[in-house]
Amino acid sequence: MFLSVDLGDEKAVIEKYWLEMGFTMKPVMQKGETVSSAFGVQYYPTNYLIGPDGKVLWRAVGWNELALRAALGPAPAPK
Amino acid sequence: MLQALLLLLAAPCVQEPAAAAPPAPDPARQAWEKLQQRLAAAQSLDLHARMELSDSAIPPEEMQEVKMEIQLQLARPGHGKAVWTSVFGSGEDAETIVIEWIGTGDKVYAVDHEEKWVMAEGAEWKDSEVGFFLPFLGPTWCSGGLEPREFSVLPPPAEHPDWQGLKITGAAPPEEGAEEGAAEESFEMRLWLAPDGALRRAATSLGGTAEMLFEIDLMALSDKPDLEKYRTVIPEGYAVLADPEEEHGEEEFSLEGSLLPVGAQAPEAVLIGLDGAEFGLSSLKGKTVLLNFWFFH
Repeated sequence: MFLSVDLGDEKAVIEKYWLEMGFTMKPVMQKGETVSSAFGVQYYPTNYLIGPDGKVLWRAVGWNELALRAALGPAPAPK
Repeated sequence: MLQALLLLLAAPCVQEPAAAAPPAPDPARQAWEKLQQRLAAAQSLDLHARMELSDSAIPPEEMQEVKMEIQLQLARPGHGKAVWTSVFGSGEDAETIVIEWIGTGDKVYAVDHEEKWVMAEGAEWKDSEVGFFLPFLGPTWCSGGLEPREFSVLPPPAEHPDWQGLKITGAAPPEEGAEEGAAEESFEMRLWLAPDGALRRAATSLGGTAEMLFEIDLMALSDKPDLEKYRTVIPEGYAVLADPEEEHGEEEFSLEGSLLPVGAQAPEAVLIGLDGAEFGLSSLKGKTVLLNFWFFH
């Protein structure tokens, strides 16, 4: 499951952007910065890959598809 | 030059004696363990020693003369004062370097009298670098670890037939940052004790041909020291610099330093869908989740 955790944008802004970009990821919001701070996120974008057991498999600031694919490799395919 | 030499010669301190008892009584090991027990039990340690450096691989005329005087007035946990005075070379070229530490009770500081600052090294004397050259002071007065392995008896020096001599060989752990599989350094210590059990002479060498010979004029241990005698304060007007390890001052800046480490349990997080429905991240357990933190505005 791919979730995009938004920091502080209005619902309408997110919807419009998602529609325009044709993203298939699920956008979600958070209360204030509760989720960002729980994950220690200070820079955007930051990506976390969480395994089925709830443990951090990989995380990085920025977007690095190769590193993400490498981290995703041994994990069971997303349902 | 001084730093390089100090590092080259620095011998870490000795680990606690192994718990396993030796199969047969061993007078050298017993003498060592007794000395370590006395040092560990003592609440104060006064020491005055003179050190000379020799290296059998360097011809005497090429060897830079190094003499060091060490004065320790230490009480637990962190009271007192320590001064090392090193003289490099002799005559007109001689260079004197003084290194000093003070302990205000709960903290031990390195002191720089030229720049007028003190820097915390830890709560106890063993956290500081005071005992760096003095592995025979044992783990309760100096940090680090040498592993004693073999003990043997040495004859007394001709001029002191009543001294007891012992030799200890062992291994020093590889230095921090050394390559994996790096050969461990061997160390050797030869000690001579007076009939009252006081350490009077010590020769230490680490791995190579260099040897430090300590003549110990005074070594006094006390179980109930007069703390007034050891009371020391930070000199007026001196800056107190933070402990670099406490402040993480030496850590490199990292964009990802604040993130959770790989392998950490992801915290519970309340997520809100665009339909307003809230759900917990833990409700996705069993799935692999990519959390992409972003914003648009």
